[in-house]
Amino acid sequence: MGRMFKVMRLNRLLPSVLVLFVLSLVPLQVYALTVSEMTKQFICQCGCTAVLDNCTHAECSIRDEMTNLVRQRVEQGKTEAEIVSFFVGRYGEKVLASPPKKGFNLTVWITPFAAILAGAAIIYIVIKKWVRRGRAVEMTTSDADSTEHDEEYEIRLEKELKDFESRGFR
Amino acid sequence: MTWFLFFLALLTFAFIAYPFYRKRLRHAEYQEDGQLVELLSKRDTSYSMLKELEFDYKSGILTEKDYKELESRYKRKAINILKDMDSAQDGQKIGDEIEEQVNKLRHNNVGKGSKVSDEIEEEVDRLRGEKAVNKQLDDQIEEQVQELREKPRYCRKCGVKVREDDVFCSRCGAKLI
Amino acid sequence: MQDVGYIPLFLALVVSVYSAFTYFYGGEKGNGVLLESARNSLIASCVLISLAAGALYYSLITNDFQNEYVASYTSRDLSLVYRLSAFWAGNDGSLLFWGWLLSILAVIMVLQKRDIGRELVPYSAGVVMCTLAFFLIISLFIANPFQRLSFVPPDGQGLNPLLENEGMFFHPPLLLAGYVGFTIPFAFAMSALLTRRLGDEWLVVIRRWTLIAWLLLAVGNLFGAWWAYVELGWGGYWAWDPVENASFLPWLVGTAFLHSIMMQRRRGILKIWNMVLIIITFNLAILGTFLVRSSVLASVHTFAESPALGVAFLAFIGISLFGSVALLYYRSDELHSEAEMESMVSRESTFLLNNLLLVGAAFSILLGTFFPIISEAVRGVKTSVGPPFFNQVNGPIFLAIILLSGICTLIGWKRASVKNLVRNFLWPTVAAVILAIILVVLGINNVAAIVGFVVCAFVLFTILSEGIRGTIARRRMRPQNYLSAFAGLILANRPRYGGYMVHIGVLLFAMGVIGSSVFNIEAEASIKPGESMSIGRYVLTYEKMDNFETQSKTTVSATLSVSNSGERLGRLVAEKYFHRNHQNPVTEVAIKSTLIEDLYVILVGWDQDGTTAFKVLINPLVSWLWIGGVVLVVGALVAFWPERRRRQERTARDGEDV
Repeated sequence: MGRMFKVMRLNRLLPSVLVLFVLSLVPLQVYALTVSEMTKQFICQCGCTAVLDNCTHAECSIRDEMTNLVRQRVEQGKTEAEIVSFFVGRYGEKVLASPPKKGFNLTVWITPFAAILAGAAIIYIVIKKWVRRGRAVEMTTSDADSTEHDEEYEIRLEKELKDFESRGFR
Repeated sequence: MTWFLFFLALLTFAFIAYPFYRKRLRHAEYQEDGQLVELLSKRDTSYSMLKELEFDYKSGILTEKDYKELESRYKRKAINILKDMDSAQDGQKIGDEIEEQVNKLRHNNVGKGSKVSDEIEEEVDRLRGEKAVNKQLDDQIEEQVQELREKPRYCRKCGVKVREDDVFCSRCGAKLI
Repeated sequence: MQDVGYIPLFLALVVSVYSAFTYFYGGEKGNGVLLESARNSLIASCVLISLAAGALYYSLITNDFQNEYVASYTSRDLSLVYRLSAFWAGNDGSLLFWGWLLSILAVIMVLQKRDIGRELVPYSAGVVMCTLAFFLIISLFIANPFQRLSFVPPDGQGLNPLLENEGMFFHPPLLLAGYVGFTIPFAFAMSALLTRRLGDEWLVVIRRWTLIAWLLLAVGNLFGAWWAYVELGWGGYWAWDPVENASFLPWLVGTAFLHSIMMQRRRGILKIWNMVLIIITFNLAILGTFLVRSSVLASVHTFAESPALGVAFLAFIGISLFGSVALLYYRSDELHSEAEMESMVSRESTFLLNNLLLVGAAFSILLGTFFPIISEAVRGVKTSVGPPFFNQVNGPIFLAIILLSGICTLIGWKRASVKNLVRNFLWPTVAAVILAIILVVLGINNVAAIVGFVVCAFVLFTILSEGIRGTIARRRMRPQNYLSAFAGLILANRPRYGGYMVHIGVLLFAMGVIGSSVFNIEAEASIKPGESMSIGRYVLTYEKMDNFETQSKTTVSATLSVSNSGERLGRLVAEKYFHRNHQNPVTEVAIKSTLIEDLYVILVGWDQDGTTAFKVLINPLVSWLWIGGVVLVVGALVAFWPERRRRQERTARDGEDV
C-alpha cells in the first residue's frame, strides 16, 4: 500500500510538470491590442539585436520608423496576425522576436521538452533498477544484523562517531 | 631595458632549475598509500552520512523505523570500511618496519667501510625481497579469491543464485557457507 | 614599455609549456625534483604575467597613447579609476586578464595546504598550465594588448560612455573570474581520470573551488543585470542576449554539477555523469569567453571581430572536448556506480530530476542561442530567437526546478515514507494555499503569476519549516535558547544550511522576476514644464529642464516631482549625457525604488518649445532581485567558508604540495 502510494506520487508529479510545459506553449490571451504589446514581438533592425521596445540606442531612426509602422496599424484596427505578417513581409522572418511555431522552427520549440522527457524516462528506468538492487541488499543485511556482531568494531565506531566533528560533507 | 629583460630571463631560469641543483632533496611525499587514503575518505563519508541520518531523524524528516533500519545498514558499511582499513594498515606497517630497519642499518653505516655497507645493502635487499614474496603470496591469494568469486554461488537450501559477498540467502534466509 | 609587457609574456608562455610538460612527466615518474621544478615554473609564469599586466596598467595610468589598446579605450579626461578598468574594456586586455587570473588561481592551487588529494595536483596543474599556454598564445599572437602605433596620437578615443558606471568595476572581472574559476575543477577531474584516483578525493578537493567559481559567475551576472537596469535605460535587466545566455549556461550546468556531486559523495552514484557535467561546464565557460570575443552571433556585447581569434577558440574547445571525452571513455569501466537505492521516492530521485531539468534548461538556452545559425544553415532563412522564446520555454522549466527544490528539502535521503510526507508537507502546503486565496482575493487574475508565486511561497515555507524543525531538534539535544540553537544549527552544517540560504535567495529573485515581468506597466507622455502625467497611483509633475557643461560631456537633465496617491515623494532627475568623444548620447534614468515597486523614468527627447517626452515604467518587486542576490551571496559564502582544520590524523600528510 505504502509503496503504491509512493509510485503514484511520482507518477502524479510528472503529468503536472507536463501540464506546466504545455501551458507555456499556449499563447497568452490578447485583450485590446496595444503598441507596446506589439513592439515586444519584433526585433529592432538597427543592429542592436534587442526587442524593438528595448532598443538601447538613444536616438535610433530605425526603431522610430518601425514603432510608427506598428502604431499606424494598431490605430487602423489591424489584428495582431495582420501586423505580424506585414512585418515579416517587409523585413523577413528575422524581424520576429521568436521563431513562429510551425515548420522547421517547431524543432527549436519541441526539442528541449522532448529531451527532458527522454531524460525523465531514462531516470525512471535507472532508479527502478537501483531500487531493485537495493531491495536485494536490504533483505540480506537485515537478516545478518541479528547474528554476527563485531563488538570490538562497534565500540570503536561509536567512539569515533562521537569524536567525529566534521561539519557536514566537505 | 635590454639588461633588465636579460636579467629577468636569467632569474626565471635559475628559479626553475634550482630544484635540480639542490643537494638535500625533500622527501618524496608522493608515495602515499592510495588505498588507505581512499578508505579514510570513505570512512569519513559514512560517518558524515550517519551524522546526517541522525540529524534528519531528530528533526523529523525520517521516521524512527526508517532511521533504525538505515542506521544499522550504514553502521555495517562503516564497520566493513574500518576492517578494510585495519588490514590495509597492517600491510603498510610491515613495509614501514622494513624501511625503518633499512634506515637504521644505513645510519650505523656512517663512517664505516664500503664492505660493511655492501653487506647491509644485501640485507636490505633480502628484507625487501621478503616483502616482495609476501606480496606475491598475497597476489596469489587474491587471484584465487577472484576465481572463486567469478564462479556463481548458489544457496544450498533453496538453490537460488546469491551474490558472492552475501552471508545469508536472499530468498530463504539460510546461512551461506 | 612595450617590451616590459611583451617579453615577460613570451617568457611566461615558454615557462608554462615547460611547466605543463614537467608536471605530466614528473607526475608519471613520481619524480619529486621534476615536480618541484614544475611548481617553480608555474609560480614564475604567474610572476611574469603579473609583470606584463603591471606594464599594461602602467601604460593605462600614464596615458601612453602610442599603445594601440590604451589609445582605443581611454582618453585624457577619463578619471583614474575608469582608466584602470579599461584593462578589461576591450578584447586584448580582457584576454590577458583571463590568463592573469588563471595563473593566480594556479598558484593558489599548488600552494594550498591539503590533507587530501595531493597526488592529484601534478596532473591538474599540468592541465591548468596547458589552458594558460593557450591564452598566452592568444595574447601574444592574436590579441596583443602591447601593439604599438607608428605615431603618438594626441588623445585616445575614450571609453564607451555606457561603460562609465560602477558596474564596470565588478561585472566584467567577476564574470571572467567565474569563467576562469571553472578551469580548476575541470583540471582536477581530468587529473582524477589520468591518475585513476576516481574515488571521493577529487570531489572533496573541488567542492569549494566549484562553489567559488559558481558564486563569482552568479555575482557577475547579477551586477550585469543591475548595470543593464540602471544604465541601459530600457527598464529591464535581462534580455536573453547571446552573450548573457553564454554566461548563464555554465552557471546552470555548474549548479547541476554542485548538486550531483553531493549524490556521488553520499551514494557513490553518477560518477560518469559528474565527469560529463564538469567537462560541459568548463567548455561552456570557454564558449562564453569566446562568444564575447567573436561575432559569430549578433549581440550588444560584441567587441571588434577577429576571425583568427574565433578559429583559435573553436580549436581549443574542440581539443579539450575531444580529449576529455576520449579520456572519460577509456576510464568508463572504472567509473561504475555502486548504486543501490531503498525507495523510488527519496531525496536522491528529486536530485536526479532537478539535475535533468537544470541541464534541460541549459540545453534549451543553448539551442535557442544557436538556432539562428542552424536555421540559416538548414533553410537559408535568417531567424531571431528572442525573449518570448526563452521566457515561454524556460519559465515552466525553472518553475519545476524551484518546486522540486522545495520537495527535496523535506524528503529524507534514501527514503520517504507516506507518513512523513504528509507530516512534512502539511504546513507548507496549507500556507501556500492560503497565499493563493489571498492573491485571488486581491484581484490578481494572471494564472501563470499566481502559480509562480504559490510555488515560490511553498518552497520558501518548506525551507523555513526545515530550519524550525532543525532548531527545535537541536534545542532538544542540548539546552539553549532558540537563537543560539538556530545559529548553532547553521554552523554545525554550513554546506547544508548555506545551500538553503542560496535557495531562499533564488526564490526571492524568482519572485522579483515574476513580479516585474508580469505586472509591469508603462506610459509615455510629451509634456511641458508645469504639466503632469500619471501612471498607476503616481503623478509626475514636470518642473524644469537644465543644461550643464563639463569637460567631457554636456548633461541635459529634467526634474520631475513625484507624488503617490496625493502624498509627495520628492524629486526625480532624469538625464541625458552627450559625450564629446562619442556620437550616441547616454540616458541616465531616474529610479524611485521601494520594496513593492520601482518607478522608472526615462528622458526620451525634447522639442524647441520645451515639450519633453518621457517614458515611465512601474516595475514591481525589482528590489527583490537585488535582495535575493545578496541572500544568495551570503548563503554561498556560508557554504564556502572553510571549516576549522580537522585534527590531523597523520601528521606526515600535513605539509606543502610539491
